[in-house]
Formats: sequence, C-alpha cells, structure tokens
Amino acid sequence: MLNQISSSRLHSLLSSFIREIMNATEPDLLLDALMRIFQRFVDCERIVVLGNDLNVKKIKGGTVEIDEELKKMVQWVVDKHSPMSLPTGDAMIHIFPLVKAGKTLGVLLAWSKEEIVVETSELLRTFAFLSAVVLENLELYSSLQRQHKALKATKNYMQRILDSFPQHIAVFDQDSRIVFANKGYSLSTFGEDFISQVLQLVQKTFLTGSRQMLEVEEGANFYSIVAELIEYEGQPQVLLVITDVTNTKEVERLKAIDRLKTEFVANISHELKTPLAAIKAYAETILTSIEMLDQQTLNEFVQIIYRESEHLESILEGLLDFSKLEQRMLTLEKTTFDLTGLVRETMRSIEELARSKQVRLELLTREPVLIRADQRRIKQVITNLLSNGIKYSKEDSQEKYVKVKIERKDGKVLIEISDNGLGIPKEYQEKVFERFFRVGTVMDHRVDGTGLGLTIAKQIVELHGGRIWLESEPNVGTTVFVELPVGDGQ
Amino acid sequence: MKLEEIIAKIEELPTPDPIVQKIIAVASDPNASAKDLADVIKLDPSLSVRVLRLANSAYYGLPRKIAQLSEAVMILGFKTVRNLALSVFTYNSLMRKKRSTIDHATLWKHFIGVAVAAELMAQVVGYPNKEELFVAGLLHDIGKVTLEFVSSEMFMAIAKLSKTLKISFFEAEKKLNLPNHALISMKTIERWGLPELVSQSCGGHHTPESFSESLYSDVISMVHVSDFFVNTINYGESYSYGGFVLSPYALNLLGLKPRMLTNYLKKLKEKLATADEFLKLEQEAVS
Repeated sequence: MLNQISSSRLHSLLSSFIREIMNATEPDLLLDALMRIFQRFVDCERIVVLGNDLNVKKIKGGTVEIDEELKKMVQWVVDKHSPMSLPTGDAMIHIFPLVKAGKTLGVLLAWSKEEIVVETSELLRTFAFLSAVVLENLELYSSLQRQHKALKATKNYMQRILDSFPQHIAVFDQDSRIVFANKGYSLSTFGEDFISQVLQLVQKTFLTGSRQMLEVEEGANFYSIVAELIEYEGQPQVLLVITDVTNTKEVERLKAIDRLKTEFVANISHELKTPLAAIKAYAETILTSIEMLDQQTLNEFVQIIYRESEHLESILEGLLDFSKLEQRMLTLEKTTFDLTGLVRETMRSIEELARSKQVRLELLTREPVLIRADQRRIKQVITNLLSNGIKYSKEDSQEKYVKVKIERKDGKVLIEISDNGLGIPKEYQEKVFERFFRVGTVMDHRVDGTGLGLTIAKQIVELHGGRIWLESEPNVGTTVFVELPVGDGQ
Repeated sequence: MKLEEIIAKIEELPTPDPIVQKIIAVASDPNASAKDLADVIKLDPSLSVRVLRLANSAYYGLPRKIAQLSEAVMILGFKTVRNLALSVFTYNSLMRKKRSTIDHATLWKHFIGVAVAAELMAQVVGYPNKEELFVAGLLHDIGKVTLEFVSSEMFMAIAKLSKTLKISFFEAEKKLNLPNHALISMKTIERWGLPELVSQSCGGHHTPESFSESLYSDVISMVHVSDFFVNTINYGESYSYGGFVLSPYALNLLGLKPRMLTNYLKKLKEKLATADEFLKLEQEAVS
C-alpha cells in the first residue's frame, strides 16, 4: 500500500523531487519530474498535464479524452485552487491545480484505482504548489531570455540606425572612456589635436553639467562639436555629436562675399563717378566758354582733367588686377632690382599726396637690397601700403609720418612700413586683407578707395611666396610687415 | 474578572459533541480515507443533511450535484468537509442560548464573513492550506461567544464602551482591563482539539505584530486582514464599533499591495454573495 508514508520514505521522495526540479532548466523537464513524483505516490494508470489553456500538454500512459463534464470539474479545481478526487465508475481522477497566487499555470490529472488518504492528498497538493512556483520561475526565466534576445536585436537595430548617420556620435563615461560609438566615430581619422580638444570638451561638460559647443577646423574641414550630459543607470555620461559643417561654412562664406560684392559695386560706382564728374565738368566748361578762359585758367583746368583721368586709370587698373588675381591669370615678370631704390622712387611719386596730408615720408634704410621679383607689382604693393599710411593718418595730429625700413635676413627680405595714424581696431585686423573690406565702410566715408588695395597686395606678396601681416593699435599707429624671399637674384 | 477565572468557566462550557470531536480527529489522521470521514458524519443524520446541503451550495458552485458524503469528501476534500461540520456545530452552540442580549445571527454572519474572507486571502497570497484559514476565520471571535456565555454583563459593558467611544471591541477590553477575546478564542479552540495553526491565528488576530516570532505569523496576519475587511464592509456585526486598524506589519508580511487589496475586496463581495447557505443553517436543523 503506497498510501502509507513513512517519514524516511517521504524524505527520500522530497530529496529526489528537489534534485529533479533543480536540474529542470525548462518547464517541460519540470513537468516530467512532477509526473514521476505523482507516480511514486499514487499508482496511476495514466497521468496528464494540462496547460493554462486547459489543453493537454503532456501525457503518460495511453491516450486520454477530456469530456465536457471533466473539463467543468477541472475548471472548478482551477477556480477554487482546490485539489479534487473525482470518482468515475470504478476509478478515480485526482486533479491537482498548478497555481501560484491566483495565477493558473496548469492542471495535473492522475487516473488511479486507488483512493488517497489525508496525508497523501496534502503532500501532493504541496508538490503541485511547489511545482507551480518553480514552473513560473522557469517561464519567467525563458521570457527573460527571450527579452534578452529582443534587447540585443534592438541594440543592433539602433546601432545600425546610428551608424547610418553622417554625424560622428560617441558616448563617454567619467573616465573619458568611450562606451558607445557609431561607425562614423569609430572609423573617423581625427588628428591628435582634434581628439584632445574633444576630450577637453567632454571633461568640461562633466564639470559644468551643461551643454557645450565647439567649432574646430581640421585640415580643410570645419566641424561643429556638441557635448551634452546624459544619464545611464544613474551614472552621468557625455553624448558627443560631431558634425562636418564644411559645406555650411562654405555657403556662409560665399554669402558674405556676395554681400561684400554688392557693397563693392556701390562703392566702386561712387569711386568712378567722382573723377568722371570732375573731368566732365571741366571739359564742359572748356567747351562752352573756351573764349572766355585765359591761358592760366585753361591750363589749370586741363591739369585737373589730366589728374582725374590718372586717378580713374588707377582705379580701373586696380580692378583689372583684382579680376586677374581672382581668375588666377596674373603672371609675374621677375627681374632683379634694388628694393631700396624702388621704395625711394615710390615715395617720390607719392610725395604730393603726403604733402597734401602733411605726412612725412621717411626711408630708414640706405644700402641697396637686391631682390628678384616683379618690380611693377612690388611697386604697386609699396604704393598701396604707403598711401594707406597717408590716407589713414590722424587729421589733427602734429607729427604725422610713414616710415619704411628694409632688412635682409636668412634669404628673406622684411619690409616694415609703420605709421602713427588711426590704427585698426583689433576685430578688423584680420579682415583688412579680405576682399572688398574697408575699415571705412564700417567707420566712415572720409577716405576714398576701392577696398581692394590690401587684398591685391596680399595676393601679390603670396604669389611671390611671401607673407604680409600687420600690428596695429587704434590711435597709435599701424606697422605692416611684408616678407619676401630674396629669390635667386642675390 | 481575570483570564484564569474565565478559563475556569470555559472548562464548564460544553465541549463539541463527540461526533464533532471525532470528525476533527479523523480529518487530522494522516491515514484516514474519505470513507472513514463520511462514516463518522453519518452518525448524526441532521449533520449529514446539512453538510451535504452546504457542499452543494452556491459557495462551492460545483458543476455536479453531490449525493454521497464520501463523494463530498473526495471532491471537496477532507478539511473542507470537516469545516462544514464545524460550521454546523459552531452555529448550533451559538444559537443554543435562545434568550440573549446579543443578536447571534449577525455575529454568526461576521464569523462566516471572516471565514470566507480568510480562505480567499489564502488564495490571493498563494497559501496552499486554505481550508485551515476558513476554520481560523470562522472561529477567530469565538472568544466573544465564550465571554458572553461566562458573563453577558461584561460582554455588554465592552460593547457599550466600544459604541460610545467609537473604539474597537479589543480596545474597549483593554480600557476595562479585561482579558481580550482573541486570547479567549485561542483557549476555547485549544479545548476542541483543532490544529495549533487555528488556535494561534485566532489568538493573534488583533495583534499580528506581537506574533512575529510565531510559526503561524503569516496565517495570523491573513486572519487579521480578513477581519478588518469584513468589519469595514459591515458584513454581519462583531460588536466592535470603529477603531478598525489594518496592521502595516501584516500587509508587509503578506506582500499585499494596494492594487491587490482592491482586487481582493471586489472578489470578497462576490464570494460573500454566494455564502447565503451558511447563514440559513437553522432552517435545515428544523426540517
């Protein structure tokens, strides 16, 4: 009689059951173990496990048909969480619910000729309950595994999406280690300088806790870097997005040039009109009243017409040079000449303008400096720089000067042209070499000019393989430096 | 009156009749069969009829009618049938005193309410041995019956104080420096030969936190929570007029969350609607 259970038998049964459920890695194996335990307690002909939908899930010992009446009883067992021994003809069906706190995981049915006593019934119920708990854990575990898989798939999916972005995206932890990077970032070939700027920005973001932005030039490209503080599992991290804004920059630059060109056209029209108006007026006067003009007046008038024509010519030449430079059509005609002599000559030619503004021109270098370059173009540069010095002199100042010094060193010639004029505000010091820029457009219209002089000068110097730059302080003065290679003319 | 004196009086109380005692004993015998239990119940024809009637009641809602006691034992289980027999017995002893100052029918309704609530609570928290919870719920306030039997003046004094001060019966007992009814329930049940689980859970149903070391602390908490809800929804009357306290200790121990309690209360009302048969045991006795 299996019904009689000694405590040692119970212990061995419990031990086997525990061993079996511990080895059960999936719900199916657990149900097998439970069915075996039942068979050890009760002599069953058949044993069946129904799933939570009450359909047959597992069967041991022949086929079975669950009729409507039995189904109702099974449903009752599930609803009440109560086991039942249902007498049917000469046999019994022991029905045990596999439930856990209101949740049905299945039902176990055992067909037997045997009746069960109080203790067996209680024990089997306990086993059923225990199995339900383990069963649920196993199901949770499997669902966890499925979720894990889904999570991985989602991660790959997100990675693919982020990889398709043109931006370089990376996430840094507090030790500046990369915890995430999209393809754009991991395949990027930024230089060391760039990376160190990036890391500084990341650290700054951690320190300030606020969004940081930076624009960095790397090679021919411009990058906009945005670093933002984010949080992951309670830890602060920095999300970094690097965008190549070279094209945007280029568009911005072109727009600025376009704006300057419009300004330039307006300027140049004015510039051209002034001498033209003078020429026209004097010519008209001569035409209509030539009989009334005495020789001296006539002479004066023609002088003015000639001077204004020259002025007009110089403006047009400047424009022509500029367009040649723009189209890269300017070629240099290099000869070997004495730079000191050239400067002296240029000073002489501009003396009149200097006198009219009471500016003293001074050449500090006496010895000749030989150089191989395009003499005409270099003269153009010197003329421009000298006339700038004169034009932008301080009107009310007593001792106005423009001084030139020429030095030779290490195969290079350095020309220093300094004045004690208006000076250039710091913010414009870079811009004065840009096309069409005139401090005057910003400051006033007291000084005439096309705004091309310095641009042309710079391009000519650069065509010679030289450099031009300036140091200036508003209301103190400006020094322009021109560095030229001596060339092979030494 | 001191607890000892009351206990002395309890000794004079009628013990469950021999048949009920036998039923309790058989249901606890590990080797008893369905037939064994059925045979004992059959000794009292009136009890047999009423047990069968309850087994076929809406509360159990069985899909088929049960004609035989042994069938009832097999289908509903040993403990459930024992509970039915105990219900009939408790009802009898409660109603025996015809001329009483208290309304036994509403007190009985409270007993059944907590029995149903406790069994449902076991189901909600996943406690397998839910039949014992039914008995524990049924008998948790049996001490009140004992108290009334021993001294109805004392019972009325407590009830009156509870009503006036809007405090619980339990608080009123404390104020009057009287032994509490939960302890008296425990002593009463011990004499009936029911499992310790039942007597302990009745003894601690007002103070679950002071039974935290008990083997039955979870069962005690279940009875406590059930009692609270049945009192709150005014199912029957426990002669306790306010001051119902739901112990946070019990809720924590059972892992009951507010959402679960809302659900539980909804299910409890449905269950109680099917428990009418338990309230009409007298009619059966007469027939």
